Amino acid sequence: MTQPLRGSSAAGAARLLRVSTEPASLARIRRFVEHEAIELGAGQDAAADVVQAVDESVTNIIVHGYRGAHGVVEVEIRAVDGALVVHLRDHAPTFDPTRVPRPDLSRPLERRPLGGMGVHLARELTDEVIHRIPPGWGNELTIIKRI
Amino acid sequence: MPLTVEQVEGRVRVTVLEVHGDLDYSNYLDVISRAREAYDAGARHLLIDLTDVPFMGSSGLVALHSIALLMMGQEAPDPEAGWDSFHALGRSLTSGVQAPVKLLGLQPKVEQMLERTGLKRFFEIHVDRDQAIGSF
Repeated sequence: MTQPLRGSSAAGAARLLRVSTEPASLARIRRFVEHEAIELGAGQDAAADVVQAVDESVTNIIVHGYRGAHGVVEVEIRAVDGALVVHLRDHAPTFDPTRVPRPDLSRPLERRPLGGMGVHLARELTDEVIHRIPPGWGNELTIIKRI
Repeated sequence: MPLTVEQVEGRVRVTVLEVHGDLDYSNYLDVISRAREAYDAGARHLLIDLTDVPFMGSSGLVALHSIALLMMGQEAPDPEAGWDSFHALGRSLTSGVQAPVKLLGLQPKVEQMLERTGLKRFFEIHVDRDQAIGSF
């Protein structure tokens, strides 16, 4: 059950998609998130930002969470008090991407690893990213974007 | 994902690689493979046309990185190995040496993504196809 943000008014109905973690599912997830985000009142720019953040996060679940093995990802999206709230749930080993250090953009580029851009983008394009371990799941990543 | 390759004669022969559709983890390796085929067939000036790419994930950055590297005659490294290839590409931009890879037609969100990840400054980016081809 999604908790309302900061004790605000009750959240609206959630829209849910559950898919297998084959790479081809990424396009289906993007279309779902874009459609639902617009339906929930997001403008095109905000919807696009959430789509990018979700894609980066689900890609990380596929690549680093399940490491290419078969798995399931659940995508839940709802509007809560002027924000889009997206929950991504998986059964992969516990990993908290919010603990990935931010890339230091002031460092010489030859000393920056290429990895971590997905997490960086998800942070840059949204207002908050929260990780927790809900009952029955390995990970839940919550992405929040004010709309 | 549909990919088309075309040879165009400008001041030099330019290979135009057109990418159509979203570029993400499911297909970024296909783009690299196609660029590698072009290089193996003799392409040395590559214009990547992203006009018809409404979405690019960070896997697309890996594709651009790998393509930049192979077009400079180097093997694509482990993506964790660092940004040396981009730095070398960037040096070519400031030294007057023509970069072997240029980009065309970035949609706003794709350009934004390149900016946010610090990658944009390593590529010469064009909005006009003829000008892009003539710039090599």
